[in-house]
Amino acid sequence: MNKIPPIDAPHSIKLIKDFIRIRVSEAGAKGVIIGLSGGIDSAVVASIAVRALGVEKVFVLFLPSDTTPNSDLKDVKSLCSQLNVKLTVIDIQKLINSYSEEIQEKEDPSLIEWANFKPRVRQTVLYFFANRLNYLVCGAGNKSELMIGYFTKFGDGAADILPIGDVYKTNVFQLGKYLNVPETILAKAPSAGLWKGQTDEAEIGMSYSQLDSILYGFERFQTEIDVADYLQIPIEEVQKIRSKLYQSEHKRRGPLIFKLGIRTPNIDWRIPLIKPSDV
Amino acid sequence: MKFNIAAAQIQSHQADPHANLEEISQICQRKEVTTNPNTIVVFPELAVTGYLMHDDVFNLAEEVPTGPLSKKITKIAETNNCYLVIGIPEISVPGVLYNSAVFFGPEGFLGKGRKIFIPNHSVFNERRYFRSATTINVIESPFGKIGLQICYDLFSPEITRAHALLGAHTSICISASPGVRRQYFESFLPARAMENTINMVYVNQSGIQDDLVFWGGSEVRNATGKQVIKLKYDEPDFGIAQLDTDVRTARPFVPTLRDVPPWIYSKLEKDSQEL
Repeated sequence: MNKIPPIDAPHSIKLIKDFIRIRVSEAGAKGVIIGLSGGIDSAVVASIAVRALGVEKVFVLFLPSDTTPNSDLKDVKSLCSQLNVKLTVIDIQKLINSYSEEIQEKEDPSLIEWANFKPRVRQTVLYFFANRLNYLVCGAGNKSELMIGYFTKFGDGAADILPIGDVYKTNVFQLGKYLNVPETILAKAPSAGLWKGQTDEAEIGMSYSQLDSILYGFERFQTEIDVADYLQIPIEEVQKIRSKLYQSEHKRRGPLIFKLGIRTPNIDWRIPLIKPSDV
Repeated sequence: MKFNIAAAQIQSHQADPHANLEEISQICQRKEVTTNPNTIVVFPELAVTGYLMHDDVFNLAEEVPTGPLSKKITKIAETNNCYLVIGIPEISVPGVLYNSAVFFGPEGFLGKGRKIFIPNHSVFNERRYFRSATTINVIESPFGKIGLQICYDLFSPEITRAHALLGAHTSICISASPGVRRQYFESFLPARAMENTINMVYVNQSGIQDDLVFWGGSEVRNATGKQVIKLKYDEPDFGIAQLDTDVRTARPFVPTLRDVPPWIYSKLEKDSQEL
């Protein structure tokens, strides 16, 4: 298996730090809010955000539910201790239970609607505090997840910025090592924690190493056959990822707006993100 | 000589040439086509791949006419004894793509025209993919000389004028025009016919691709500008128009080609370079 090439960690981190600083500044926000999961992605994002803005401008929350492994809290505490940031913990299970009771539907984490519900509740909580503090919600999605749609639309996918959204999972680990993220976080199997015992790689059906290699081939305009030949893997594995790529395109775009007017939002009515001084 | 234009206003499947070729084949099997060998079935711009295929174009573009899609279209023409004008993304050398209109017949490949005006404004992003053609040509077909142009080319009167000056009696414009552009095309088409005394054929995509609706409304005008057929707006449709290769009767009444002073073009060349 040919792995994707390593990235230049110090340079990438510098650029991501600049990006976070500029986005916060241009949005007129006071900081960023990050939901920590105990996994590598949010650990890397929080580590870079603290380096970019300082601990006083980074608000981190841990939002466990009944399916969250106990070890995650321990790992999150260890990270926060290392970064010297204050951790806020809010158990979202009661919110889920109340919702379940109100709509008279029994929670079943094995069902997609309930699996997706948790990240959506988490994001609602994050945005509550983001609005209160005038902070931006800083998501932790990585390129591997984004490109196969392995995230919840309007759940963990809902954020103001995604600083590592163009970094493959393989390279996220590389950044994590460079940033000295706690070893327990680096060593654990990636999991969305949506049900007990879940691991990303089991759910995706292949290792991140293989997934990233396939995506990297597509990124460079290789065909399915090119990728399978180059990686020496069955073409069915490559086709599976290409299928996920297309099936999930709707998740990577904002809601489609149908063009009726001369200039249409999100299509051809484009203005800078920065507000001009005379506005 | 009379000949038929069959306007095949389809709704192409995005980035799915196999589904599109199946539909193209079905249309070419229609009785109206197979029973009249003097029929050119005209499909829209990028009908083979769909207009909004985005970056997939890099893998879908092929050499014309030696690529696999071209060969299948040739087979369709041969099987149904018909002629086709159809839009396809063409690759010349690796990394150089053209948005092309290609003319096929039962005897094989007849010629191609590459899009000259590559739009990169409003909703259009074509310069990300396509190079502008470096010449204007007309195709020598069994029906005489026919010019091919593509969508935004119609906004520039020089293209149709060049087709007429090169001896074409008909200029075929294949298109993928979204709704807000309708009034332009519906104004330009009769104007191009009348100012050049040339038959004009316009075949547009129809229906929704991503966030755009292609307005259909394909039509055929004869060399006096008279509308011969008009297809439905917004949805797939099909219609046949009969045209004449002989445009001599229109020209004494509107002798623009006789009267055009060549110095105008050298002046235009100079002025356009100084913009």
